[in-house]
Amino acid sequence: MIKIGLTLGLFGLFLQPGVSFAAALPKGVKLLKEVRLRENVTATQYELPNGLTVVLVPNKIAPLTSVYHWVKAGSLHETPGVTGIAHLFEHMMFRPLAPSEPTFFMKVKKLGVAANAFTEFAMTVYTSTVPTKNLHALLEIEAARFQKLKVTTALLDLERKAVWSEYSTKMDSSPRMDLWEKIYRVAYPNHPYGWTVIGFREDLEKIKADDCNRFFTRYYRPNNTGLFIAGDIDSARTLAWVVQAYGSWARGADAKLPANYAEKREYAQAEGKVKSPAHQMLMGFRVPDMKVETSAVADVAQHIFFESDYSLARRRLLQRLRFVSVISPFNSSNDSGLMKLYAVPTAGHDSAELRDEVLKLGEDFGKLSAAEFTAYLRQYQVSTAEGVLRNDTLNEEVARSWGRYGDIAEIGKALAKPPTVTQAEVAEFAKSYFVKDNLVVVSTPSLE
Amino acid sequence: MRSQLTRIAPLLLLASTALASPTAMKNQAPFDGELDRSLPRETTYVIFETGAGSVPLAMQGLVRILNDVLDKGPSNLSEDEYRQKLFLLNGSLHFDCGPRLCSLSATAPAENLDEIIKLAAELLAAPKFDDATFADAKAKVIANRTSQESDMSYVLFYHATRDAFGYHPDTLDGNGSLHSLRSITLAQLREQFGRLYNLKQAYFTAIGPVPPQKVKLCLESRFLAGTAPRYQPTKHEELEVSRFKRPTTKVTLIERAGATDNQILFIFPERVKTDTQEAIEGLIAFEILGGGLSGRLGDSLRTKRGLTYHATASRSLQGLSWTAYTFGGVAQTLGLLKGIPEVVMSFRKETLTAAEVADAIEKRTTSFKGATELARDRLFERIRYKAYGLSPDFFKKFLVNVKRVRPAQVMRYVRQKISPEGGYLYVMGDKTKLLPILEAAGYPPKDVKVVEVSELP
Repeated sequence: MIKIGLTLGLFGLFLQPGVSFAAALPKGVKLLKEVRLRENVTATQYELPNGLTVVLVPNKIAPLTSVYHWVKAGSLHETPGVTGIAHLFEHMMFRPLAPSEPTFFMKVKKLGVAANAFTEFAMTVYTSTVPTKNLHALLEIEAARFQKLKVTTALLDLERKAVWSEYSTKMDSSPRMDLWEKIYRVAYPNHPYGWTVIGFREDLEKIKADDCNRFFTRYYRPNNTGLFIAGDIDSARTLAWVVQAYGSWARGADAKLPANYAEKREYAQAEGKVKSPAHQMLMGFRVPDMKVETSAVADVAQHIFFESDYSLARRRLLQRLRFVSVISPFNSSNDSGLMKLYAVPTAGHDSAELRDEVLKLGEDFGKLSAAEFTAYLRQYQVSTAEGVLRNDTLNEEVARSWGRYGDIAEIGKALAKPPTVTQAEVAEFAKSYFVKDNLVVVSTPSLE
Repeated sequence: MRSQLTRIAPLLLLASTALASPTAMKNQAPFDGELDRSLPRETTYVIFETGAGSVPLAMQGLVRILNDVLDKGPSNLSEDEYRQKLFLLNGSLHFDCGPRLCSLSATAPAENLDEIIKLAAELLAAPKFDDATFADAKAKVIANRTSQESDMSYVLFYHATRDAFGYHPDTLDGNGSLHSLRSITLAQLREQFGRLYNLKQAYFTAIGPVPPQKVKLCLESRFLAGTAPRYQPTKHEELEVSRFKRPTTKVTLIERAGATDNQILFIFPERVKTDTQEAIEGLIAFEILGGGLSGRLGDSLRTKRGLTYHATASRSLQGLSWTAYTFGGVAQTLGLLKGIPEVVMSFRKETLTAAEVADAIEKRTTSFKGATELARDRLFERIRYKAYGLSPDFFKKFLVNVKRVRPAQVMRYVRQKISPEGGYLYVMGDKTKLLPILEAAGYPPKDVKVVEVSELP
């Protein structure tokens, strides 16, 4: 998982939009931004007249082209009674556009495409890797499903069964997944975070084809979508293909996230339902949604406290006290709303002890020297750079920079130099958020 | 964040090549160094050609405890001092073992390369073999292993891959049962350390922004100073797959009381040498049979029947067997148990078209390019090829050879090598629900061996 985000402007990272290519842009297409990612690799952001964001990352040494569609339609956009629809709909996007047609996978089979998708709280992301010679054909197939999908009852009932299988395998059998679901339910009882991405089981049964089609019509719109293409591409030609395939996609209403959670803060703890031979626990601190102006401090805090190989949590609980056999950040690149720490206590130690020690991490942070803090920042930059070596991981982080922070420049900054965050800013963040009345703890039930 | 660069466990688990452009170290050990200026840090791998497969069966899991002890640093530094040193070097040291190899990876920015290699050499020369460190590492590994018992797919694969091949060394990936972990002693750890991490059987690789010649000199000065032991390549016993073939299916049920979901794994021993054209034909065959949602299994069991979220078939990377794997709820299990053999039998009778084979070739080409995109990926492949005695030409010519595959060759492969008869079936779930389902699928209870997770060796 990659951390991105800085607060202060770094001069010289942004390139002026290229004059020569801008002059040759297709009609109505705006060139918004160019961001240097690394030597000879630049991301260029365009916007089509219908609001579709298009980011092209020509990378001549990439052997294949990566295509990401980032749709601002996740579980946070759902409403009570139809929870889980964003994820169910993601599955439906691989079904035939009409009963007589082949499935998406059957259509792209001849193109040598590897495709997948995932749903998160704030978005659903569709990923494809394609030989560059077949990019044009892939874009036509992709554009068709993003504009013309029609969910039928028969196909929905079939796919619903597959989602049941996913639900059953993940939520009913895996203690970790069960704890993940539980922690959001406990932390956010009156907010869409509370039903997590998978949704409520009872709702899954009730969702109808019309619900899916309404969800599609409401959210799958060009102005809610980012199209990211990275690889050995010719930008002008690729942009022309995109305009041709996606240009007639009709704009809709902008997707809006629900208000940030602003309830009174309160410590909470609970047990999950899936038993485990070893006690397992998940701790989460409620954190505000990421924004460009606040993301850097939050990301650095997460790196130092929970995520680095030398995180304060690892140092205290694993190495110094030996209270845990495993401690790791949990799903931190995907989830919002909670910064989470997963742990397996060693014999003789319980959740309460671990919780109390986690609450002392702020004291450990206060003892860090300036040299140690600088080492963390340098490490953060290196780990970011090492995480985007592949063409597809680079594309994903460009997309994440846009989708999560609203600006592709964030990943450019994170790759260019260590974050310009101060120790005082991180201390302040920890003081505000890594406190008991903002903490939620869930653990596996005992075997008895 | 834990960098992926320092982790080669997956390749170690999978089961060699002559090195691409090797030079020799002063003790005649191969050195495979590659310059990659896109990497922020240099990583050197010391590859020890003896792995967990050589550790006695009753001591399986020992390498996990050993590596955890090594992870605590050399005896002349406290663990805190050691970690602080690594932290300030922006470096890392990791130990890992698979069936045929153990490895030490050392990663650091160019300016700290000599320091990190020096630290690695000190650690290898004098680990913390004291009672307290050992007890702590053992407790940690046991706790971690206990938590893995809740993961049904982990337990299923852990048991099935070992059981189907009689616990052959090539199936021993370093993990052990709770039984064996609990019985391991510090004396055994010391003894096995001397065998596993012995520089006589080590060769060296490096990748990153530092010129390979410079890395080589650094490695020599830190690991092979004075009269270094001469390199002695290790020979591994090959697994005789034919011994494990069965005319009838052996069924094993791993009990998980109360489970609402069942895991299903078929294993069919079938040796196909990995570096041959036949193996490529097999890759194409399995792409068509089990390749995601467009494969026959995914299309039939998921897309058309909605029985599962996932159904796949593939050939093991070491070319020992082919497997089919799926999972589903109790109500779907009978359909899955019957569905897999039915789909395979139907596939055996098909006449494949040139277009379908061409589609599968395109997909495999995409997979190969994606999996070998980085210089690091290619280095890992060379290490794997060398460990398993495979021809480096196979890797270099893969893209040319995959394009040569024709439908008749794929169909021949399917009919000769992919049969759903005999072999091994492993299922995991609640036996009270599973036994009647197995019976309905044609596996009567008297032929089903039921095992408890706690009893697994």
